[in-house]
Amino acid sequence: MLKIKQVYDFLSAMKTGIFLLMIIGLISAIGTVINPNHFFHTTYFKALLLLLFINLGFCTINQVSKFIKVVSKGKSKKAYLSRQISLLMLHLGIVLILVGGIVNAYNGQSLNIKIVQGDSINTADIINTKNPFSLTVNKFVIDFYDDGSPSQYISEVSIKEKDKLNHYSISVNHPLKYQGIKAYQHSYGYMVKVFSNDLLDSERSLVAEGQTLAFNNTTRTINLYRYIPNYDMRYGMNSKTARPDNPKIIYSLNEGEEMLGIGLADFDEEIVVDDNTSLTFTSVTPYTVLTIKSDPGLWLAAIGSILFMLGICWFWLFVSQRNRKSGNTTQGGINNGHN
Amino acid sequence: MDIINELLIYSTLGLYAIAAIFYYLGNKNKINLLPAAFGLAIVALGFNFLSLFIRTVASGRLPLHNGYEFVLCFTFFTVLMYLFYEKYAGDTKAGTIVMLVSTLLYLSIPLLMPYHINYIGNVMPALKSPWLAVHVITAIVAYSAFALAAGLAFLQIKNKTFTKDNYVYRIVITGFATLSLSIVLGAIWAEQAWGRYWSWDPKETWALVTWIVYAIYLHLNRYKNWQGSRANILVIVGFIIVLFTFFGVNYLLSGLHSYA
Ligand code: HEM
Repeated sequence: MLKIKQVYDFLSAMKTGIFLLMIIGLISAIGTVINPNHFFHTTYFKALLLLLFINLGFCTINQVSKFIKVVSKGKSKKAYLSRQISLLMLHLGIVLILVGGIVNAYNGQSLNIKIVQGDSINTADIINTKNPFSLTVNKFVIDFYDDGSPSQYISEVSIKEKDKLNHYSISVNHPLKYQGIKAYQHSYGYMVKVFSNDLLDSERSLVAEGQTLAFNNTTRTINLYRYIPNYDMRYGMNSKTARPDNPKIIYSLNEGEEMLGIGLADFDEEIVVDDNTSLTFTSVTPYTVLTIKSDPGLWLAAIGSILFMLGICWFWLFVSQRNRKSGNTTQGGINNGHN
Repeated sequence: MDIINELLIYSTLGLYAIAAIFYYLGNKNKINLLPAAFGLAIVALGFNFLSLFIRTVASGRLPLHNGYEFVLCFTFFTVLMYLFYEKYAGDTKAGTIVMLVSTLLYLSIPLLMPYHINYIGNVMPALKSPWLAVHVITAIVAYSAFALAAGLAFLQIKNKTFTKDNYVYRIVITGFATLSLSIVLGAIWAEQAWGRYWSWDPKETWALVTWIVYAIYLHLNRYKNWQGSRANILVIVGFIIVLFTFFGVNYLLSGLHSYA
């Protein structure tokens, strides 16, 4: 029994907590320099966060029981109550935020999905959900400022619910909340429509950037390199703005591994591939990329955040007021006779 | 208009520098330059505010969107807080170092971002959120408080008879509370914009590191041997990390805080 108590005391000690915070701070700083994309997801780092969670959790339990003991004696001063309750809220808030994070790490789901304008998806095909629904992207729109820089990206979607069709729009900073999932505007791109007298895969008329097209009557191929909404020589292969002021398509003509040439095409301009083969890019269809997410831990983290914010503000008020009233020079009024 | 903006920035820079010198001489010598130093600081603060005001009118939004605007706010709140401290605590000793820090902050404008003075870009979609305003304001107030606390901590280390531990503690608590709010508000914004409230991007992580340093300071404060000089060193280290979070991360590490 003594051993368990010793382990508990160690795990709940403030010194252990300070040490853990120090280690986590140091390692985080180092982590931003060496491969930040993977570093923070390593087991070692997660174990450290878990230890902090255990430490803070135990410590909070101790604080609560001590607080109850003191209060039940019935002689505690108002200042003591203020200080202890605010600190409890603050620490408990952090514990809840960590619980929320852990729940999300084990049960949260988040996936990016590319949907071409006009297509539908069913959420059941993307993530595990109790209330699946199907979502259609009717239109993807970019709003522009006068100078052609984007001011908003909007996916206009509809969801079929029984016999009714409901319309929603998803834009940056305005995710859609529906049946326990959230859908965010993540990014976008374009598919190009092609027409040819000789396409090998005649089914395929919508082509993505980077794809190669093969033909029946020639061994030559066309690679659709990139769609440029607003072409300007000075910007090279980058679009001047995202607004389709001067749309062009960059493609290459290839024979096997060898590149025969690079071209810049307008829409509906005929491109001669070989004697009997030609091709035109006829139009462009945007696709949107939505992040589909479910986070069952979010409400815990949200409650934790509120507790944490209220606690820290209250503690701040306590420290400022106490010093103003008593004018004492001891630090932060720690000496309240109950420690 | 462009000329006015530039003139305003350079005169503010000059005024902060002269105020620093006046505070230095005033604190050192018998000549009574301190009221003049205070006056200069007030005028500089007024000019600083004018730059912010013109920016707000010209852009039609709060000046909280890029490095240049952050520096204007950062300096403004640092000096404002110092002037309150000077009146409230009746102490002018920290004037030199606070004005020096303000001068250096302002100096970063012509050195690192001169063309921003007259360039107002459009706001990208991810930044169009009411959470952004409160997130940035709280962060800047926090950084300013840490600047002032570090100034006082530095003086205490240099001069053992200068004892303002209680002020340092309270100013750090103020910075710590606002930084805490800032981190949570930033997380709320990130959750709305990207669907993730925490993604360990360099800026976020360094803000967390800053927060941890001050959390350690607050916890160690209850141990007698961690008050005084050792605590003051932590406060200064904290501010160096603040500066790295503010400047270093932008210029040295690449962030993920962008849309697509
Ligand atoms: C993770 C971030 C943490 C934050 C932001 C935080 C914040 C604070 C603050 C602001 C105080 C008041 C300090 C003062 O009196 O000046 C405090 C006190 C305290 N903290 Fe933390 N803390 C954290 C983690 C921890 C951990 C890991 C422990 C470890 C067990 C811990 C245990 C305590 C204890 C025992 C007190 C003193 C309470 C009292 O005086 O009754 N804290 N904390």
